[in-house]
Amino acid sequence: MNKLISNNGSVLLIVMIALLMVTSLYSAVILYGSYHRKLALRDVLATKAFYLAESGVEAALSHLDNEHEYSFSLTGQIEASGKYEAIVKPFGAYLLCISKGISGSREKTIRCLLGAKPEGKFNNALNLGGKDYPLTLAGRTSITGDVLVSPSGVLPGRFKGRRFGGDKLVYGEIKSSLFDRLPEYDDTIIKQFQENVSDISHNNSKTIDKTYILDDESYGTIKNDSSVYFKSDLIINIADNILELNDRYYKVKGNLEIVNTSRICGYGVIEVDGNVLIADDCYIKDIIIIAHKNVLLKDQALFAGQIIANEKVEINQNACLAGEAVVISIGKLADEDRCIYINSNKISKGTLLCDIQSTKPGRQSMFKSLDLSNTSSFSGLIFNTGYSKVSGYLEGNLSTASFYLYDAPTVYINWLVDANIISKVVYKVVPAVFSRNSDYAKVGNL
Amino acid sequence: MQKLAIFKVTQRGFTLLEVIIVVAILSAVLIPVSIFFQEYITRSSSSDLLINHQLAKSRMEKVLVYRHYVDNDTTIVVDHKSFIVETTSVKTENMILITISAKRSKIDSKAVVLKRYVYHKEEI
Repeated sequence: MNKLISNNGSVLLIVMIALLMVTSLYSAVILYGSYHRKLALRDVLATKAFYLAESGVEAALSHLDNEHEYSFSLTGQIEASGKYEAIVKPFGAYLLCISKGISGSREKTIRCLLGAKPEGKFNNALNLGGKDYPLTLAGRTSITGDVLVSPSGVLPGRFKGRRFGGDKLVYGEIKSSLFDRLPEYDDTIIKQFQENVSDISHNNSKTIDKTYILDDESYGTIKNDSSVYFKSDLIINIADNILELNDRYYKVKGNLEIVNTSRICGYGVIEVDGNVLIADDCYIKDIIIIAHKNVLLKDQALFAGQIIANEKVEINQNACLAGEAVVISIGKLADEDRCIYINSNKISKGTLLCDIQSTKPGRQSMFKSLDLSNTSSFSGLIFNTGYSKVSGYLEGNLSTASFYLYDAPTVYINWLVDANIISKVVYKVVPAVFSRNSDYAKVGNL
Repeated sequence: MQKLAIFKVTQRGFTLLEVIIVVAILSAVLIPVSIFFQEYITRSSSSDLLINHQLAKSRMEKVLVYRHYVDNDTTIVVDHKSFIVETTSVKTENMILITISAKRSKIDSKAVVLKRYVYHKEEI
């Protein structure tokens, strides 16, 4: 009994217990430290992968500069860092670059739009092309910045509004030229893009026959499909929720309605054979809407993507364009009307391109109209191969063939009434369709 | 009563000799281990790695924003420790390869190296 409760040999026991405790403590410290180190290393690899992905975008810009092709892919490697894979393809008026950086076990993919750096003529307030008719300024018109007009120059107003002497309301240099001064736009990018879209349409993974109301419940049934063919109308009504298209393609045979504060984002495409209505505080970003008929934005809808319409585009009732929005009207139209119409609008920003062809014989010159009216305000570039009517406020650059308006009974005059144009370099990067400049840059990296 | 007496007799405190032996054994084992761990922790400190990473990243962003592609070395003191951030740029065709390396100075710790290409037409 005495032996059992004796303290003989306790030194070894105490040393072992103490060593066990100390070893446990060290092990915990090492495990904790190595866990943190692993996290930190993952973070470093993620940063490396991100810079590799950005390197891919820069390599794509360099390739564009050398080769001038709009659809290609490339890979590259940076020693002791990893590799990148970049794909460039036309995406509406811009080029879309998808670049993946791979460093160790980490991957990072970035997407960005590439555009062209604007040519010098985009620094002018006004580039007036077309025939050699004088430009007549009338009403409260004011132009701040250089103006490029035909040799006939600028005349005082002959009709409505107060009279003034010629170029007094042009606060800049008036330059005239005999050459075709209207900058061309590069339609090859849009043609290539539309070919890509038609390629996708042959691989539709799902077809829906009836009118489809896409709400929170029904969205689950199509959200994993890469492309969907809606054989009738599509109504997107997801009230404050977000539909992420992310490379998906929706083809709508009927009409498209986007209503009730729905949000849509991601680099996807919706092609609509009918008309498009975007209303009720909806917010749309990055996607492209191809409309084979008309597009109407109204009721505070906010659009920061691209619209390519074959007929008219109307932006009304405080709907507005934002971000890098592009509106292109490039189809054929039988009626004589406004092709891009911006009305009652205060804060629109983006790029407008109007090149509608008339199907009516003898009416081609009177077509392709663009109307910035009713004290609407627009910031950005406007390019119109037809005639424009500007009675609002424009901050940026306007390139148009003429300002023809009809004056009874048979006279057409090239005049600008109640317009306020202020030249400002709004963008350092413009959609690639607008500039033949071979110098490209990332959009948004100003 | 007999049991209590036995218990009382056997509950002695540790002798000075026992304590000295314990301390000696623990010291003999723990001092080399401590030195090893100190070295290990210094080499693999995640805090140094994080600081290296942040310094390299912020320098890279600064170079990209200001587009100032000039080689230089800078010593930065963070929490009473000094770090060296090296910037080098190499031009290849119309691209520049920027390399940023950040590491703790005077200690053989691993550097964080970030590399990025920049599309650049002009001469450096």
